[in-house]
Amino acid sequence: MRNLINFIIKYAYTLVFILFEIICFTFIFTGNGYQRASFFNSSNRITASIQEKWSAITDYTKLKRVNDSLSAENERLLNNLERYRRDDIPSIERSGYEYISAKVVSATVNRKQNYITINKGKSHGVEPEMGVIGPDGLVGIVVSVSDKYSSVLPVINPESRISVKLEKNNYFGSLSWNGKNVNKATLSEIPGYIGLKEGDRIVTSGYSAIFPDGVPVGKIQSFEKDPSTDFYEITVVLFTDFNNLSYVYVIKNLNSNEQRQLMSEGNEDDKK
Amino acid sequence: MIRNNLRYILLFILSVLFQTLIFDRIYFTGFVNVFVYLLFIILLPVETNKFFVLLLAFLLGLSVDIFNSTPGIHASATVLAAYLRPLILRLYSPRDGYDLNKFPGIKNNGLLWFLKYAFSIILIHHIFLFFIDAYGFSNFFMTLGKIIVSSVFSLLFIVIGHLLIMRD
Repeated sequence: MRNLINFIIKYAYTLVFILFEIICFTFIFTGNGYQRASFFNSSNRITASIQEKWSAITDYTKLKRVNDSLSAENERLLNNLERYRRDDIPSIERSGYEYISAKVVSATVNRKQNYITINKGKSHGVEPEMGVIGPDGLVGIVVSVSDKYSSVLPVINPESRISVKLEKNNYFGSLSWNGKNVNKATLSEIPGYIGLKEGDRIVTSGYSAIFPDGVPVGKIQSFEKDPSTDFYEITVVLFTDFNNLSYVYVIKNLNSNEQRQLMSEGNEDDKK
Repeated sequence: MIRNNLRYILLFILSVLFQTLIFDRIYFTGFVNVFVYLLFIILLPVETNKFFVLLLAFLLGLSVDIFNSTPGIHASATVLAAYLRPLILRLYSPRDGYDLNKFPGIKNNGLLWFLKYAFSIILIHHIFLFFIDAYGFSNFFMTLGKIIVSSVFSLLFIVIGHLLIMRD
């Protein structure tokens, strides 16, 4: 009898353990990616505000690098501006994008599923599926927003797929991350008959209506051809340093609804 | 008793904050991930109700998950480590048993004992965590390497944390 009771007690322990694991795995399988439960969102108010207070303290250690990259960005923008002035290019008709500046509240870099939290949210006009860029180039895409914060799916997350192209000849492919190195991403779908060389620049394609055309992404470090498909497998060194990311810009596409509508109509036409 | 509970509440909060605000922000070659929050589970008194330990482990892992937007991953690994804790304690039980009123630390059981005990818990947690995070067993050897190197570093920081926060 005593043994039986002991057995039941022991069994109950395992049962409770299994119950907890079932709960955990429900979270794991239902909570990933774009449709994550808002509870686990790094943009949820309590954790984001703790992280924001903490980053106010730790940001000082990054000041020099942040200043350097912001000043380099300014230089680039001023030069562009000067070129526009000199060439007297008529202002681009009805420019399609607006930028919202935001501060990085927290960013994980050593996970497979990395996320970034920024301090702008719904009340600042941020919406899911808006693009995010940093001073050095592409960062990621907003996946969910709360009132004051948003979480961003960065390039360094295996679920990220971003349409990019080779700057020199406009061939486009898809940028993804293999989970190994925080500075490198993989570019695929570039056909094997194109001449490539190390150092070629990769920029956004502008096809997706999320990013404007030509946002810097990175440069080619190495490439090899997959003989079975005759497509390149390209390793790209990213311009954005995710370890030291402090300020970013959320890109609001002012024509995005129109563009999307046209695209979906186009797709329907293709089907017909 | 109340003072002791207070200490553990503080340890819980510190473990989560240290983990998510400091150790999860450090990028060290991408190969080493340190998980200091296990210190809380490791230092719980030996006689703590094991069901309660499971619950605490679940809450601890969940807190880390919420900060990191990693739903359920840390919670599941921590619950597993907590589930096997009584077994590990029994395995390394000293000849005259544990001093039940004290927590399983270096001062009460010796450094070597603590290293064995803590490393076992860390290893269980890391194996589970890294293989879930790697989605099955892609890059098996790389994941294995990560587990071993990270476990050693976690142990190091857990011993340091133990000596700093809960010496006696």
